[in-house]
Amino acid sequence: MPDPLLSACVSFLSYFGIFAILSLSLNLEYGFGGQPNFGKVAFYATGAFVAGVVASRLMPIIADVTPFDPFSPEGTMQRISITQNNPCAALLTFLAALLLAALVSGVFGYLVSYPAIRIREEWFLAMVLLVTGEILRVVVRSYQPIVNGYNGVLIPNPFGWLKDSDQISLAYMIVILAIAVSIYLYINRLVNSPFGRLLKSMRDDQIAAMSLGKDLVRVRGQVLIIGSALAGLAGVLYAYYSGYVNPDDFIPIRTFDVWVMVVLGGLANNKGVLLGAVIMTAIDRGTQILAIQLQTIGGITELNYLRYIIVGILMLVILMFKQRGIIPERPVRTPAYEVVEGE
Amino acid sequence: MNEILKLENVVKCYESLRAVDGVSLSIKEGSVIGLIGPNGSGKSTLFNVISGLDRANEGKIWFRGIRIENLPPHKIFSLGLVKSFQDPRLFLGMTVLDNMLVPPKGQKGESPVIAPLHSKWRDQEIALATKASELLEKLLLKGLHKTLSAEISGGQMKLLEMGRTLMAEPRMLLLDEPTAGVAPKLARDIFERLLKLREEFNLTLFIIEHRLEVLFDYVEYVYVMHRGKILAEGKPDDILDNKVVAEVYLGG
Amino acid sequence: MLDWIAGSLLRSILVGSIYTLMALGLTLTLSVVRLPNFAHAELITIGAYVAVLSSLVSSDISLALLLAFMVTALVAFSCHRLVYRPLSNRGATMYTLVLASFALGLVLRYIILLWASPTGYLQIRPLIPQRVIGVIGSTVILDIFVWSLPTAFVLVVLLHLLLSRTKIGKMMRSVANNITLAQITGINVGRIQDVSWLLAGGLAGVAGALWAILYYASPYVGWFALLSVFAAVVLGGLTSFSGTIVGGFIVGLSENLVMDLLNRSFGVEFTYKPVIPFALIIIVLLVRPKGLVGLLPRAKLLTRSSTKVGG
Repeated sequence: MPDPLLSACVSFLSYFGIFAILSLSLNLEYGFGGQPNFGKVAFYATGAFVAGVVASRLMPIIADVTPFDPFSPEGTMQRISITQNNPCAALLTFLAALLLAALVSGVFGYLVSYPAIRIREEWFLAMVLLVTGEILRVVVRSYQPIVNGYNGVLIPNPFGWLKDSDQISLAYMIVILAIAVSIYLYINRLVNSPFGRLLKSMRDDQIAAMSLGKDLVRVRGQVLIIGSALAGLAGVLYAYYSGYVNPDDFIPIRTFDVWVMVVLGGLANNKGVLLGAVIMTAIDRGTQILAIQLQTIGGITELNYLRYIIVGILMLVILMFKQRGIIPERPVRTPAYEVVEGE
Repeated sequence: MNEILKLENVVKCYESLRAVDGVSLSIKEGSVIGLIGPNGSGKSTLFNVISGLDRANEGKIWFRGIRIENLPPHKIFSLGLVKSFQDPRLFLGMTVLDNMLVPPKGQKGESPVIAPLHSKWRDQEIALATKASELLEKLLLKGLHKTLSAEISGGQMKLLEMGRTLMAEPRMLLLDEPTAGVAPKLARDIFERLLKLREEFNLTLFIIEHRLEVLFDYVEYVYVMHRGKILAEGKPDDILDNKVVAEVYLGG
Repeated sequence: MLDWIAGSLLRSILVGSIYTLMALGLTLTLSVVRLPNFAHAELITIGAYVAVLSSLVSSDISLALLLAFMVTALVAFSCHRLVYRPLSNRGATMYTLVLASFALGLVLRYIILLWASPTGYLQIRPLIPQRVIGVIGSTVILDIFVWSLPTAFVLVVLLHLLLSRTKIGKMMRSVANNITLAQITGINVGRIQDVSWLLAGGLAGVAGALWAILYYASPYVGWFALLSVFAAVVLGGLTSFSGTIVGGFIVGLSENLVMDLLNRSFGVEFTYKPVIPFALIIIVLLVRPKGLVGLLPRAKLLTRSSTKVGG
């Protein structure tokens, strides 16, 4: 008998892990680097779409069986049965999806921003990324072969072979959290370094940074590649978590959610954005649960709209009173400080 | 002495305005040269063009024998030509120390691939930090290293700006009004410091200044700009005696 | 065979004129207020719905357009006074303002969704009967065609006259050119910004109304148009008045004439239409980021120093 409290916790932590990765990636791009990425959802979606493609087309190949049409009921059944009986294939496919998604999202991030990277005004980039998200959704929705258009494709959880649904969710949650923690540690190491200083200098004063010899076009590209790759990872994790990849999941509000997490929690402070992620997860899961309870009174869709309105107003309030978020930024922690203080 | 900077017929237009109109000059390594002229004569624009922040429409520029008029600012910087700003453009979201540590060239840790591997750049970082520490001490900013640069005083900001520029190990500095907005005594102080640093680091200094009485005590040669052209050039004494210059300054 | 071209061309010009109206509002806020207003889309949507609501009272098109102008102008003005100006006064950075506009846009959109969903207004046409005036090829010509182009034309000309002949227009141009200089010469920048927002909102509203009468109104109307509007603005060079006008028509042409061509010759389906303005933006950014600025012989009325390429 599934314990509702346990599943609520598992659900909360799983979402938190995914949101944490997304907000860390945006924090890197905007909090540290000053690049406003209004198209986060595009790379999140790319990761999920890659997962869809890998799961539907690669999995049978890895399991060494003749594939059916990936979008047919037979294909779906085949995937489910492989996952349940062949742990190796299931996990390998998952791993392949992760690696491929990071790669594809990273490259995609670079390609899309390339035209705008050389333009000094950063919100150009912001606009281009914003519309990319929508275009991607429209294209993937119309072009069947990727994830079966607006029908979407079902991908079973890589731990399906555990049979017990509680165990499956728990195991998967652990994987999500493990990846999230690793990414957190990685980002911390990345920004407490000369690279972190470089990002902040680009953020604080582009012109000064350029006159001090920094090749900003290259740095912008680098930070966007990393940010996009990370978002792609989050996308894969989300796809496998929800078990279903559908282009219509990836609407612009998702980008906005990530922004709220970063701005609320604290720009350029990784602990801060984790706080932001916790708060957003609470709002998100909270409204979902509320919606299910209230299913009899008004539709779920209306409650969602209300949630988005509240989140939007929350953002405006934060911007009005605490522009840089709850937890303030800290200096770049490198050995340099020990040297200076030691004297 | 070698020629370190040479300009040949440099022109910069904004729409129909010729902000820099055919400027040619030559500067020897190690010298201290002044650039004066009334407001709007194109001095700052000229500096922007030389340092790469703006692109010249016509003309050629050589730095240490290399043509630079088409190079991006960061490449010009890496050759050793550094421009400092009239108003200090500090990185306000960063501490004083972090500001100082941004300019040095060739930091291994600036590559995102190497950055997470702290051991690979640790030694370099420590060396740079030591150097920054010494400079901060000379500039009397030592105790403020952990302070956000946004929170120090105006005079301290100017000193930090200078320190930051020096961390870049420049060969030549383009200084745009280094004493703007400071008291006369501090202005002289700044110039004294500049000259000392020039000796220590073998710099060439090209300085835009309005405080002629201070400037003329320290520079060897002066260029006078007016309406985008070089109106006159010569030793400070000759410029002081130049009637055309006087007219432009007092009349214009 | 060629009659589909005529119909396509007509639609191109029609849609182009509406895009131009939408884009001019954005150009206005970009140059005078220096804000890329991400909530501009919602202003268009509001205009569309005002037309619908107005049609419930009377089927007079001019009433619908007038109301759309006024209501949307008011909304835009309120956004400015309630959100953007307070933020500015608290020392908000440009990105904060951009984020705020993004947030505001989302809030407005979902409020409209919240209202439209239960009332069944999710996709609705105004009750303005359209008489058929004629037919060209497979395109049926309705009343609205006759309204749309002249309205757009009149508004554009009025805007031009405002900017070039009136005192307030000149003040707007100085603020767009150099805000510090404008302040020094005693111009009340706050008032100028107020006026700009009213105008920008009004233009967006009328455009939205025309769109609704032509097609339909939905909470996403503005958002879907935003891509094309942005393309028009980028083509025009961001802050150039005449550039934006030309840009609007180029986008209109690309989306209709070119799309029809692609569909007939290469079988490209209409679902891919949004890719066209996107492609335009990418091409402009890659080839000539300044847009049409400099290529147009007429004087630009609202330009500042153009986008500088870094690095």
